[in-house]
Amino acid sequence: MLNWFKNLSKSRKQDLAVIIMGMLLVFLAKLLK
Amino acid sequence: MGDLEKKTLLQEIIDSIPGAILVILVAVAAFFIAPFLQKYPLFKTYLELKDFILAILMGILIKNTVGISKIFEPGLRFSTILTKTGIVVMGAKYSMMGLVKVGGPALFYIAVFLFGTAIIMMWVGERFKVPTPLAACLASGLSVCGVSATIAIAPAVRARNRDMAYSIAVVLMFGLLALLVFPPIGRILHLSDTQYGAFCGVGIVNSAQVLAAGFGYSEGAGLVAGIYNIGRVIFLPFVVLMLAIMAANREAKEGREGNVEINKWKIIKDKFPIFVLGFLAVVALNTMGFLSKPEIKLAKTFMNWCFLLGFASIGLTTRLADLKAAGLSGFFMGFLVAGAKAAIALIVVLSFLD
Repeated sequence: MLNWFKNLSKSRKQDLAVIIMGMLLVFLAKLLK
Repeated sequence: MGDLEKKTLLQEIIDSIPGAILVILVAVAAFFIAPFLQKYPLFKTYLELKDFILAILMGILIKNTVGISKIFEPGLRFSTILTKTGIVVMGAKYSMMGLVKVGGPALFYIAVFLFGTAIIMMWVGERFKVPTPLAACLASGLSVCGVSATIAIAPAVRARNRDMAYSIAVVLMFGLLALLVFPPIGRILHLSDTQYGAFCGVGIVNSAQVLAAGFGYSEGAGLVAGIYNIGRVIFLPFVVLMLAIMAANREAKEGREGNVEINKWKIIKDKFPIFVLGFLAVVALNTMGFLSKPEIKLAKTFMNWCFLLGFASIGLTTRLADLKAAGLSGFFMGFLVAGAKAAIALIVVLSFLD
């Protein structure tokens, strides 16, 4: 799993980070309201 | 480079703090100044500067007048991440039904304009004897997206850094002009939200500028522009593939050893923007009733701030001097093609959309 992540290109890692952050913000909106 | 690789995550975060503070300051300033400007007839009626557009303009003004010290640079790299995160959160404003309703025609118009612009730009480049790598960078940048598409095509056509910087600058400058010119055009022609959103989504090619122009007009227009923007980004790998093949053919025709091996499946797989899947996941959650109205409202506030911060970063990293680097002919050619595309987009939008 870790190797799979390490082998990803920079833009792929960035896209994954974007998805995680976006989903977190949506869940945060759900938690705070 | 060695030093960069050795940096720990903690060090990277610490290095990013000054730039991040600058970005926040510009975004907050734009947020508070924009409503204040609306009180004046000039800005209310003729030069509509909503906070998104103002954040970009203020960033550009700072970068190109007083300049930005090196200490701020590490914290200015997050414009793309912030804008894309905003796009994922934006999914909370759509339902699957709404997405399909607007997205169906959007994909058709985008496909026609994207591939059309890319093909015309390559043809114009050949007529005006613009070197193949620069023509391909411009074709990619002007059809799909100034920054990411130019970077995506560059290795496939062996473009130099100067070609890339130039293409990105032309696209961003045209988008900047569009940010100022599109809203008054929309008001004068009384464009509906759907028409104006489509006009921005097709006529402007930088994600941040499309969203800033759309939301600068109205929320409805911003949401339509957002769908067009996502459609455009989805086509990125296919346009890059087509341009790589066209560039290789032109090089071969002109007798240069430019035959770069093109792995079609690899280009499509590597360049596909997977963050769009995050957007679709949020749309699916919203369609299933996961979010209530107040929760959607808060998600929208998060989205607005992601965009505002991302747009401030983009402004703070836009160098107007890049335009000087490659001469006037390419500049005019780029603006000519982008302007013609925007004009045709406006005619199409007025003729076929309500």
